[in-house]
Amino acid sequence: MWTYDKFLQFPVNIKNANPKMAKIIITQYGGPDGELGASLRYLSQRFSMITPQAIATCTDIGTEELAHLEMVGAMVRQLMKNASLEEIEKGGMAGYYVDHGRGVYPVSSSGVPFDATCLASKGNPIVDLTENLAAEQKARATYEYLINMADDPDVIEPLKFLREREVVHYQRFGEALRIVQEYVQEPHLYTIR
Amino acid sequence: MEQNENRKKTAQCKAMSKCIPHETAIGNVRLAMAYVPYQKLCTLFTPIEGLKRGTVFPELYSPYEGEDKKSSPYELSKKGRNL
Amino acid sequence: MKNKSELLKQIVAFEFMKDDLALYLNTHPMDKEALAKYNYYVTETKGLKECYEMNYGMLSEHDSLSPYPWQWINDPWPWENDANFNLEKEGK
Repeated sequence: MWTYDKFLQFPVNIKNANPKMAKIIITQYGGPDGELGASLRYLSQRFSMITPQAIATCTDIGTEELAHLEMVGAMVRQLMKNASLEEIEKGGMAGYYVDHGRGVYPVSSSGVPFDATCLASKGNPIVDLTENLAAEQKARATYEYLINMADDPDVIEPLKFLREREVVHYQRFGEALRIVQEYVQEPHLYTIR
Repeated sequence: MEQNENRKKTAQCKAMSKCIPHETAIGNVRLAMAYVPYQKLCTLFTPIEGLKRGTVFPELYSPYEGEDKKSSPYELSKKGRNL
Repeated sequence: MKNKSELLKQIVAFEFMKDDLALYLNTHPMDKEALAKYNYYVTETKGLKECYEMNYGMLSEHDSLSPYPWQWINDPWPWENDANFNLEKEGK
């Protein structure tokens, strides 16, 4: 089960409203390669994962992704909360505003609501860990695209942090895959059900 | 006493500079399998430095500075900047 | 004694150190050095958190005592600007 710590994993303190930025950053909240998808993916896969190392990795990284979801939500909120209606309109967020005000809702940057089809949990450890490697690369690339589009240092620093975490997660899932592959190769009766 | 301390520190420094933070050979490889090298612990950033960078392991730190907003990809590739 | 912001900054940094070490330990459970470092940071963070909670408020509903009235509901929440300290850009 989960406990909640009353602080963000990395500080988010954005002083300037920017709905245009919120519109693209929100994709890491509810989009195809975002943190909600990541946490559900890993927290679902762990039920059928094998080897204690891989199960712990899926559990702990899945939990960390929830903390990242919180950071992205904080960024969107801070970018929207003091935005004028004119800024919201100019930033292309009028459609979002009429459905969600200056609140936070899981959508992609093109307005598609969160959909679990962006993640896979195949029940097969090697398939699932390979999916996770791809997912971490996609998330890293998305953060790079977001960093490319940003110019406020208050926005860039948390994005850089989140991007680096994806690099680390890739390494951990890679190691978990090695462990699972070695386990499966061992000469003992083993079947994946 | 001080000489011993200095010797210890030098030995540590030498050990650290020889520390390779990952395995250098992967044995028993098979086709149609993916292999990410295992990391090995060498040094750590301080907590604040680690937090700023997004990892406490120097060997996993991969800085990204962003792409120039005004240049086209063609211009960037001429300058030697690729993916 | 450190002020609220400085203390929180240390706690967040130490928690992060623990998080990253824990992920490493999940795939390297036999690494004695990493394990020793993890346990060191667990002890240090406990002390920092105790100090923070005694003076500035609850950080979790897990093991924290609350003064009267119930403190958990107090502002600011982590996504509010006021709750976030200043971390200089990396490299500085």
